Amino acid sequence: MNFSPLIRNREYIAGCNPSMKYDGSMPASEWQKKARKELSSLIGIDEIESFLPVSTVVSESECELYKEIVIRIETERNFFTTATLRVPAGLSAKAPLAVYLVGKTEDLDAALKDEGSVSALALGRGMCFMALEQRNFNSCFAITNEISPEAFTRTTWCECFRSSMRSAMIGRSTVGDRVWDLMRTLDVVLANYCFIDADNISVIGYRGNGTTAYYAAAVDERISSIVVCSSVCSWNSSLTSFNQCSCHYVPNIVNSFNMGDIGGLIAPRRISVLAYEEDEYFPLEGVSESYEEMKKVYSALGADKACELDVLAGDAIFDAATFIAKL
Amino acid sequence: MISIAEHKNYELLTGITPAMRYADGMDFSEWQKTARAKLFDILGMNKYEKCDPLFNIEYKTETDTYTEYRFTVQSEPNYFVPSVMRIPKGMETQKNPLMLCLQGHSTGFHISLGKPIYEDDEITISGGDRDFCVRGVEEGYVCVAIEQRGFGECKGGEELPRGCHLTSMAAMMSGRSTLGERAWDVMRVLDAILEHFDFIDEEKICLMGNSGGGTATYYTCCVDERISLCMPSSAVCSWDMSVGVKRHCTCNYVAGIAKYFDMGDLAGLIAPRKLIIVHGITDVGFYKPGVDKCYDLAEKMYDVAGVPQNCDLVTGPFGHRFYADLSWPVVHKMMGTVSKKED
Repeated sequence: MNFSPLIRNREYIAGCNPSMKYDGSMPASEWQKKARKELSSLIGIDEIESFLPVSTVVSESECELYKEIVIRIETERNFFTTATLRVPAGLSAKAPLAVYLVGKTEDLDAALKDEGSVSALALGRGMCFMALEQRNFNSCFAITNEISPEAFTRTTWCECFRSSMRSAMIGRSTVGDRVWDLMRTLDVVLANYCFIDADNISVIGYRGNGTTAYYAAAVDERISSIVVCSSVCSWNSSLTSFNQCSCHYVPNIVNSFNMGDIGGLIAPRRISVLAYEEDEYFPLEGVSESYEEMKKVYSALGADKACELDVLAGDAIFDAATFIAKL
Repeated sequence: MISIAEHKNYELLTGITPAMRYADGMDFSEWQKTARAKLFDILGMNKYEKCDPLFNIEYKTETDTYTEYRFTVQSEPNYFVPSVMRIPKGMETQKNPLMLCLQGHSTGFHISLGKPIYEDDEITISGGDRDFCVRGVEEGYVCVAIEQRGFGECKGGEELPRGCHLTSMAAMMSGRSTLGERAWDVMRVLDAILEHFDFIDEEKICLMGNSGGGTATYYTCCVDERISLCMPSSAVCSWDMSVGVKRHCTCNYVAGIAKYFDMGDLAGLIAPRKLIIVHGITDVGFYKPGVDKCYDLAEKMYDVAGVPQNCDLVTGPFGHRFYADLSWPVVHKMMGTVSKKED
């Protein structure tokens, strides 16, 4: 006799036949149009008031290797995020852009180090680099004055919880909010910085930021490639097996999509999925399942080579070199 | 001015005019039909499946003052709800009023039965009139304590103090909600009670709960019209003064609800049935101005329904708890029952 509601909910999810699952019954491109519309609605970007983003350059500086522009962007009325854009010194032609979705402050600091960081490696390849702060982190930090930072553990009461729950109540999601922020930031950057090659925009994300990158690429076709790690994994292998941060969860997603179906919306654009053999929270079995799902659409569009899964030894870490090598 | 995500979402939440709010001049019963259907959809209640209840009485036991049954009901495939019923002695041969009891976040429904099991249970029980069934039996009602999903025996195995988070997020991803699940469970338990016990007056079915139990009580009464009296305690409060402003358990949140309803709007789905909103004046999880806002909306709709006398607000002098001495007289008045409690 089962008294566990979680077991019941996992059974429900396992038994779902998502309405937007790609089954080859229609041309892949036609499926993508329909599915993209459904996904946009589910993540709640349809609920966000149409808004022309407003940007302010907070600071500009130069060094031997790059020019840095810190931009504050109002992505929706009275909400601001911060992008740190670095342009290789002496840039004389359009360059690709690598966007790094960043969470905690220490991750931003690490990303902007002058050596060995994701920004340094991207710049070293002649790319422009942009670190974009995600909602509920850094300058977008949600108030958690009821718990001290020391008390923060992998529990319900993380930075994102209250913000994510409020977002859900109004028919949105933190995933959708972050996707929106990225889309509006791209609007600003492409409108104001003509040295960015608009046909060559890559987005990198790890864990929750990988989730954002994944969903963003699914709905915004300006993103030409993504590299994600510890994000793409079947629902029951990850989000319903462990207390992941509230910001990962999209209401009602399960009835429309498996995780892998969402990847199908990125085809034929490039996706590189990095998976670690010992990743406890996004286990390999679930990653592989999702990867096989998205491959169906890539194959249907003749883009098999644009879809990659790399399995790496050990526990999941963010290794800048591994990510940049995939761009 | 720089804002942050949480402030932004609070601003959005409080700036919404709920799409399903009852407006003057609307046909009330037509509004109720549409609003109830929308709530049903939002709670995800079209995603549950009735099944063989596999009703099973685990034991029957007698004390000097009541007879007790413990039984289980399969509310949906492979999920079972444990419940305990107490019938005041000598009442099994007649039709009796029924009080279904939902405990809030605690160690489990044994609190409703006044049976401490864990450390601090005694304080939980005695510190807030949370032994609902004990008092209910004294008052002359058949009482049933129902274990809610995420609590006690139905905690789901999570090691965290609160068993609701992961199952609630899984429900949310599925287009369901823990509150919808709890409402469904109550409805299926009620089906089983009415089928298997012939001493219940079907015109006098009541549901009460405190805190998380009060929230589940309120939503259940919105969707199940068999329930004649709804008594949510420490639960009914506008979003901006409760779940929208403070951290509450994940199970309190329903995706999309704020687009259509604030909590007070839902009272219109309970009318013309009886509604007793109970709250504590110093409750810091459900602030008084938010309770008052909801009650104002409730009063307005009960007026429109032509039964202003069926709606009441009981205010206790302390905080987040139930107030049995203040609330039970109102129950009796509304239900036309008489207290059997010996002073």
